[in-house]
Amino acid sequence: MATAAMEQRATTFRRPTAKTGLVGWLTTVDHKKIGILYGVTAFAFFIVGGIEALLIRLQLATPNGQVLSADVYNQIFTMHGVTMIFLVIMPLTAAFMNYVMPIQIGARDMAFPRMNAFSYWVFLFGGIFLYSSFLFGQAPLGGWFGYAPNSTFTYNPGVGMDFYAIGL
Amino acid sequence: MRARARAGWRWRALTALLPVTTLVVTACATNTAQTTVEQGALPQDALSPVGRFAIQTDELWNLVLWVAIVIFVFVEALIVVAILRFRERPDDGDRLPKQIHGNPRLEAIWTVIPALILAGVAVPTVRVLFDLADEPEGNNVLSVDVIGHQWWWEYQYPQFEGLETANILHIPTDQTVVLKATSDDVIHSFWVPKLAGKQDTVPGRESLIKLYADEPGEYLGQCAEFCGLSHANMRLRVIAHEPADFQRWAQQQARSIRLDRLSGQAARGRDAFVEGACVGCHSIRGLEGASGTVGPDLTYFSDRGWFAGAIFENTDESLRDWLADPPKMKPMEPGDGRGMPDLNLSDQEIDALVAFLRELKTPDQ
Repeated sequence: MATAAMEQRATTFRRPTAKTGLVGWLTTVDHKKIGILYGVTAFAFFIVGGIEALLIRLQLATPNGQVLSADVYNQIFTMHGVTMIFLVIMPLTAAFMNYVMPIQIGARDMAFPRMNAFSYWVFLFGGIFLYSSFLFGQAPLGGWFGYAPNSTFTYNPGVGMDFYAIGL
Repeated sequence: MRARARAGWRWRALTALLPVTTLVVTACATNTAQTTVEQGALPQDALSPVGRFAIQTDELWNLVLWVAIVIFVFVEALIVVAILRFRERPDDGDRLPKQIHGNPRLEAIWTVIPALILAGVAVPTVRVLFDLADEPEGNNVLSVDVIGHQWWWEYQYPQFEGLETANILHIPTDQTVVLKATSDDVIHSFWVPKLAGKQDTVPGRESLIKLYADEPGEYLGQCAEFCGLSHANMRLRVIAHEPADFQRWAQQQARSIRLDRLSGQAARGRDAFVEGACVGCHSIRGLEGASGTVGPDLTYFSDRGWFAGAIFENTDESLRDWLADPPKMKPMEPGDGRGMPDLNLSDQEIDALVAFLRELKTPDQ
């Protein structure tokens, strides 16, 4: 009888283990896994930013290039800059910091694991939101730096700069 | 075993040399390319400056470059030596390198020496910065107000009352020219690489640019701060004249133009200009009713070799194409009040306007 009670307790209060597979990746708060997520996502954006760079070069390969219209060209080079800086380089540092730093200093995890995971998901959806602007044909076109007054409503009346501000 | 290890080492040394070899080969390639181009023949080459202020900047750059080259070679040599000399060898076994906590004296030295180098570089740098920011005064200084617009440049000469022109800046040689630059809309940047460094023109602010041309000639430049749709089509030219020629040009251009004796096509064009939409944006000094201030002043328009942000040569053909559909020639957003709209002109109207615009020039002597 005592044994049965022990078994009962063992199944009810099982020692928590990490989930595996897709659910594991989606729900993880582990610093190494989050580091990998950052790295993989940054690499995916790196490919997209690289394609944009190729489009820029294609346009500039000949004088008066007609591959892209002036408007779309401005969108592409703005998105190239925004992508490479905010969606590649910065998250790539986050990838290494997440993966390596806790191991280096001998910590079990980052200080606020759930917040750490939240940061990653905010970054991912921010990037997707930014890119959804292409669905409306109005990606940001004020340059990655977005200087006012060129980035203000007077000079950029479209929704591109809104995507830029909210997405970042 | 020993032989294979040595072969591996050789291979690694070759790999390490690869970037260096590439660099040398590329440098040589650039060199040969340059010999085919006449020195300084490239129109926008900041490394072959012509005027005093551009030369000052260029000399500072060369000085800092040589300091940087020496430091770069020294540091890279140290790294290469450290990698080769202290690499792991097969007979090292479990032996660890000597364990030390650091070397305070060495650290102090490599902190102090760079600080001294930086302080040394700062002396000429600050001197040039203050020199370039110093606003010269006196009678021998020509002052020009530069105003950036989407997507063209406006020039006003306060010392020659009424003189206003666009895109092509005329200056005298052997005289300091002070540009007081600002913007009417977004941030632009005035850049004539052979004559001066870049200078942002910011709305609501006045920036100082100093030009000094040693030789008469035409110097190309462009807007160097992304300013919207047609940023790439916002260029400029600076024409430096001998001082006497400049005086003649300026006094002539400051006068109003006489247009009362026009006849035929040109007269029809003048009437179309005044009665049509043109005068809403453009002014012509000497033509009553033409006093718009949105677009470039067109007095003596046909004296200018280039138009529309200095990207189109001022020929009848390009002018006709321009009048037929400006936003098609150069991307603009006339709907938002930026750039010239398509005015749906008929062929006859365009013919008349071109004939009229061709009369906007210095009268033959």
